[in-house]
Amino acid sequence: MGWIKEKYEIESIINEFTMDWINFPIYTCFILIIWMLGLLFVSINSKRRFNSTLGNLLLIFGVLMLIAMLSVLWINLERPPLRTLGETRLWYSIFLSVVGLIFYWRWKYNWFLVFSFSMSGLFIILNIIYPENFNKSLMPALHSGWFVPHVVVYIISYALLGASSIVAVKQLFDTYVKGKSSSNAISLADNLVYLGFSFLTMGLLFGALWAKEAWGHYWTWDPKETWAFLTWSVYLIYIHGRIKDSLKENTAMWVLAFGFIILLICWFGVNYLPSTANSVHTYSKT
Amino acid sequence: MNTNRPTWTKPWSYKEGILISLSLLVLGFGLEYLSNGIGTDNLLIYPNNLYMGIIIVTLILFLAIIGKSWTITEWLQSTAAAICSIGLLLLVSLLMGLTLQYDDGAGETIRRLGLSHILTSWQYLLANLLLLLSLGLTTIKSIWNFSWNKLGFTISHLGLWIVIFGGNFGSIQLERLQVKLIEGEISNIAHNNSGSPIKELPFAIKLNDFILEEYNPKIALVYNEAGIMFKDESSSIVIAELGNYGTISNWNIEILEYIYSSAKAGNKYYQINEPGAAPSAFIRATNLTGTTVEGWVHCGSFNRQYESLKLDDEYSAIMLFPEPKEYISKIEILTTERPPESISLEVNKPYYIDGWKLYQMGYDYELGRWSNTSIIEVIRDPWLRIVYAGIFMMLAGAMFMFWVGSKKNMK
Repeated sequence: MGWIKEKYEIESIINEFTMDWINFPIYTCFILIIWMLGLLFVSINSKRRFNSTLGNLLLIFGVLMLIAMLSVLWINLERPPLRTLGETRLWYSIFLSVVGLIFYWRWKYNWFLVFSFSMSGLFIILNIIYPENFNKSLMPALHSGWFVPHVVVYIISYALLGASSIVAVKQLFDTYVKGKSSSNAISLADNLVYLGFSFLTMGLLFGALWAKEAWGHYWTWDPKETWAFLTWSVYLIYIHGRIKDSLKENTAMWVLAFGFIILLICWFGVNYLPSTANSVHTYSKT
Repeated sequence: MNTNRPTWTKPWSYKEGILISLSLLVLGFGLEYLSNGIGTDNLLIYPNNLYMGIIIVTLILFLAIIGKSWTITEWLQSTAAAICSIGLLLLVSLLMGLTLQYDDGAGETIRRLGLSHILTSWQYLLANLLLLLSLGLTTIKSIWNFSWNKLGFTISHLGLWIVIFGGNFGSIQLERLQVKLIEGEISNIAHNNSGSPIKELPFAIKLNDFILEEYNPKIALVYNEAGIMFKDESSSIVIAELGNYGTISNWNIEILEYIYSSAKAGNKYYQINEPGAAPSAFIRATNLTGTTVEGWVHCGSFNRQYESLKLDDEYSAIMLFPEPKEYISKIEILTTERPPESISLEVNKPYYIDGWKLYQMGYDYELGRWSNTSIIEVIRDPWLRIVYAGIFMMLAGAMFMFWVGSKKNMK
């Protein structure tokens, strides 16, 4: 069988070249370096106009390169690159970096820029380390244009809401243990929740629109949906409670801490609840 | 919050809100228990849902116009009422999130209290009514005092009201049925979940062909004695594809030959096209000590025996069943008014005709890609457009929120 082995070795090399993934690490390492430089310029002494402009341009250039790479991949594959896990990770990277930039221009939070580009970079690094995941098979219900927006928006929202509960827990700790709290922290929590909640709402509704296409109804109270609704409600209570300080600050912080527990149950815990015996949302059962 | 104010004096706030919410909860459980756990199932049917809708809208308008300065109206428009009504629905939904719903094995008390069917329980209905009242009055107030600055507020609240209203009372008119199709045959009879014929559709469907595309099957190792699969975080499968290779446990597996549709003759597999001819692969397994084992693995099908390859005393290599990638029904829609229409129906791509949406739902799982039956789901939801209008309003509201952020930052 020696000739077969030689034949497939040659074939696989040719395949890899046309697939374009073989050049992936080279391109992406370049992008990662450009991004790091960009973040450096934006973070260090960003009051100087030159630094900030240069940093922004570098970040934009990196994002454009990533988009160009995805376009080449799209043309080479002759289908939208949405099928494998590696391909969807590329989309995450692009979305996260674009959202990070828009967000930064609007709100001027340096940390959010660093955070979103690091997440984006993490997905790229994952693609370099685990290239075998490129062939991961997706079940037919996941083959949809809604897959990427639904998941990406949720990831951003969870990250923001997660950060808000860190603020809440620190605030509660300061109040009860140290006996003092800062009003700065509360307005930071407010910001995080407002932005996180707008993404949460979009993720939830994208999910509903997708469910109509894939499963026939926009809302079936599947356990995952029930818990997504619970998560959404808790943050809705927090937002209303903060209007004209309707809820005491401490109560609001407890709501936020509690909300994160519900969020975690929705994200990971649902699969272990007795109510999920018939869920359609569990994809990992094999 | 002024805590010195006696309860039930104007303006109502959290104390009254909590009392109202808890009373509704107790009332809900009570009604459920008295109705012997039947719940609102028989109550909320067409056209009762329309009457219910008219009553709610009238009540909201009545309170907003006639009872404008009443204590209860002012309370329903307050933040406290918003929090209490969301909280009540949250509590009821939490019960749903923790207990298995529509479980035939539920105990008598659980069933009688409505915990096994929260969605059709009195407590769920009452929680929704309180929320609809509070949300509806708040929305109307913001429409009457409309300002462009509060556009995001108005559309997100109105959108949510429409979604809750349409989702609860409209979706009662949802019809969700199935049509079982056999290749070459025509059907217009829709069945329910349990298979009894329910309805004649205004169109007929003919199945011309059912196509199932599969991923390449995976090669895995099983423990000879336990018969279970070896699983590892990093890699526990190799995809059967000519030239592919990978390491599972301490064995390096190479795929030297792969045939998608094959049958065994003698001790070798050959390419053959007939029902049940399943994938096979000729593999070489080499372990760290240099031992090499070569041979065929075959995943089998409804009419073929599978074949595994014994590697050593511990492991055998097997081929798993290929997983479906996409399945498509080539169908023809036949109506009395129009010429027949040929379409390809696949998962995630429903087809719309005369108020019905057609979905590729299933097939004969035992026969897999040789299935000559296809199950199409047909769904009619007259309220869909209304609910979608609400969803898009909420989306617009969420985008406003993204842009405007917390009000405290608008210095």
